[in-house]
Amino acid sequence: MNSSKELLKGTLTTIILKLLSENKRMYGYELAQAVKERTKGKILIKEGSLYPALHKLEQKELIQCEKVNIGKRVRKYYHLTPKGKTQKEVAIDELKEFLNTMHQLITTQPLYGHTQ
Amino acid sequence: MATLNETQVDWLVERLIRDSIATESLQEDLIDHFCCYIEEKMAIGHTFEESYALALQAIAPDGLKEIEEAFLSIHNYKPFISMVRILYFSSFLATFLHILYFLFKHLYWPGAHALLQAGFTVILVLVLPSLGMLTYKHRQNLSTLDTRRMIIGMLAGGCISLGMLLKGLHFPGGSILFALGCVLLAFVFLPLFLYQLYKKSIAG
Repeated sequence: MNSSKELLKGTLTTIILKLLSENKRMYGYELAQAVKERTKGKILIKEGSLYPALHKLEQKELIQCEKVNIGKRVRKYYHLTPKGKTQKEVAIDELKEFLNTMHQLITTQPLYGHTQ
Repeated sequence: MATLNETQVDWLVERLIRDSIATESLQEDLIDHFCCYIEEKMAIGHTFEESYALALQAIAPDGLKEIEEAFLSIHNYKPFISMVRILYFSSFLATFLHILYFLFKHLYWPGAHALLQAGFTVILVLVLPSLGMLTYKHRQNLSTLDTRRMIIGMLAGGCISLGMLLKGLHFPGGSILFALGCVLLAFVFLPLFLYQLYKKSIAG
């Protein structure tokens, strides 16, 4: 079962920031594959969402890209900026809080800890 | 895993450019993405051509243009917000000037004519162009009937505004334009708009 596109929409940038924080640098295809492998194929990031999201993060100066020539093609490796590292923490906390609240709303039990 | 040779990469670049991916930065991303996918498929025994067909189906089943549009929408976000602001502000200003015109006219105060001319100028110069640009930007989310209605509405608005301005300045052609605009508005735009509202309310 593929996760809903709508549900994924708001979390894509957090997923990218998290993956980049765990790896020194990653390229687009590698990011998409990492998500697919970690979620056992339940979450598939479409290229139409991935590259716009990467460029949006680059515009916000949360990530930077480094171009490496591989034969005649260019591979763009993305890595977190210091600003991106800080933002990653905030984004993950926000997502955890949101997931916890949603879990509590549906099951009446918090996923962990207590929500405000 | 084998890496694609230069001829194969050139062939891919040509295909992507042919499919209208004009943004260089996105071209670089997509070429590498396609290459990685193709290399992965070739490693398990597919030919280059088969791998490309599989890549196209997996990466861009609805065409590469869709990816570029999503990409460009991010870069055009700020101009888009400015356009929305212009539309809302100018619509407010045009309505405000028309209300003032009615007030001044009713109370026989001087300046009513200038207020009316200013109101129509705002519609012609700001409201209609910004509305046109936003409609064009959202064209993919609009049905054919919606697009036609918007075009007819803008044409009617343009004819009425320009007609009134020409009439006010005593230039020729004003009355014809004004009449044409009124006909479009009353006999085409309004029935179409109400019909669509009716259909939506039944469907909803």
